[in-house]
Amino acid sequence: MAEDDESSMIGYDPLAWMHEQTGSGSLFPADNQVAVLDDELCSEQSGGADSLCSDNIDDTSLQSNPSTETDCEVELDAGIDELNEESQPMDLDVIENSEQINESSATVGNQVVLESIQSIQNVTVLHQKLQQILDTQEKIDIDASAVTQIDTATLQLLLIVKLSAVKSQKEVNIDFPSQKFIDAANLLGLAEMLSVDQTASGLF
Amino acid sequence: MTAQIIAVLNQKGGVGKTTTTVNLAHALANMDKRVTVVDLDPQSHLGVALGEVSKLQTGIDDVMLGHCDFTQQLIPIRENLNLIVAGPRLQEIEQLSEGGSHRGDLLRKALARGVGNADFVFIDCPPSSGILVANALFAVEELLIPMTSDFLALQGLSHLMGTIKKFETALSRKYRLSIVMSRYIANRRLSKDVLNTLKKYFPEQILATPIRETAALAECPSFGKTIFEYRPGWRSAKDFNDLASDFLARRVM
Ligand SMILES: Nc1ncnc2c1ncn2[C@@H]1O[C@H](COP(=O)(O)OP(=O)(O)OP(=O)(O)O)[C@@H](O)[C@H]1O
Ligand SMILES: [Mg+2]
Repeated sequence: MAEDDESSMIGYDPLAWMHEQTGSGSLFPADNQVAVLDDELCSEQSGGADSLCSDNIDDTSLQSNPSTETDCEVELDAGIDELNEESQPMDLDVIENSEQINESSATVGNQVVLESIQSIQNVTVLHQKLQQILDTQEKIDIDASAVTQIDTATLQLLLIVKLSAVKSQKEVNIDFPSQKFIDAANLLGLAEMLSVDQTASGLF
Repeated sequence: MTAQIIAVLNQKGGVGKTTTTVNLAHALANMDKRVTVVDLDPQSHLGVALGEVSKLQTGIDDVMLGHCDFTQQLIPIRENLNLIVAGPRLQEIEQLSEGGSHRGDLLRKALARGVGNADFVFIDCPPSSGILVANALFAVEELLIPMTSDFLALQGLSHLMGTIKKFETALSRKYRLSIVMSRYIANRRLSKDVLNTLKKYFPEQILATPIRETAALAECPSFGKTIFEYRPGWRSAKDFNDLASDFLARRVM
């Protein structure tokens, strides 16, 4: 691995997910708290082009700062440069609705189907669901085709799950993202890190 | 015999897709292979690089829209080398945002009606992940990926491989995939590290000759010339000749 080689000029190996190996154990630190991971992610942010060549960018080579809090207020200060000019301004606020917490998504095997509205109300349940699958499976396919509204908390969760999975040589795919999902990921500058693109969207 | 159809693909811009298509194709044509190159990029750089600059000339756009056949659009541009330009309406196809599942299949259907008697057809893809690239992925069984040796190119390749794997799953087949190291700067440590990382994930898939970064290769498109016309005998011409032999013999790193 590039990371193991101290003299390597590559800090973080983006292709690591391609090596299917049997890893074991939890993908998350013992306490399983999203918030803790958030803090880790953000404390090491550096963002500048120089950081791409430094030795310790590890999995924090994000292009923008996700909010440290999962309070659903979109912080765009760092991400604004990444904004695609054509992307529509959109509503990332949490909808005040009382969705049943256990209806946040449907699960079959290693597949998770995101609900139409993904918000902080159901992020904990989604987290547990993803964690459960990743504890036992090598790969998880998240179907994002039905998403009409998604908030910062959910996007952060997906990012954290993906980054942790890469570390354990597991694979997290976001399949068939809806336009709203793509817009939201673009807005936060997370589209590339989440490997979201439109090529496979809506074609199959 | 049936033509070998290859998509030259990388959603990252400026990695050398067009340069590779033009010069590899001309090298193969010089080796008496019958080659056709297709410009699937609305920027029309492939046509320009070969000296075909007419904005009105229709090309693969009309083929995909079903207005004519592939063979009708062939422009003999060099000995053994035919060109199909992008055409003015290719941009419209990229922007077709409605219409559901049939849009991805336009190129595959068009090619199935026949590509003439070429040995090789190279499709120069645009730097995007949109509908045109999806068309290329539906249409071909072989991919040639030009890769520069920097970190963001690796990040981009990770993204590209995700897309490719999705198509492989959906189409229930595997692509034959080769990588060509492009714009290679040999005396830079990062280049070697990137190359070593690639070797780890793509064993037997990286063509043996890297194409080095040179001023001549950057200059020749503006003259509408390939490297074999602009600077024959120079090291970039040699690189592409070697690459063509690698390609034919499937000689890898
Ligand atoms: N080996 C090389 N040495 C020097 N310059 C090069 C080399 N390869 C490509 N270039 C130059 O880099 C630029 C981008 O190359 P090219 O157009 O082939 O890339 P591309 O991947 O087709 O780009 P796009 O994504 O826009 O289609 C061009 O100006 C080209 O002349
Ligand atoms: Mg090009």
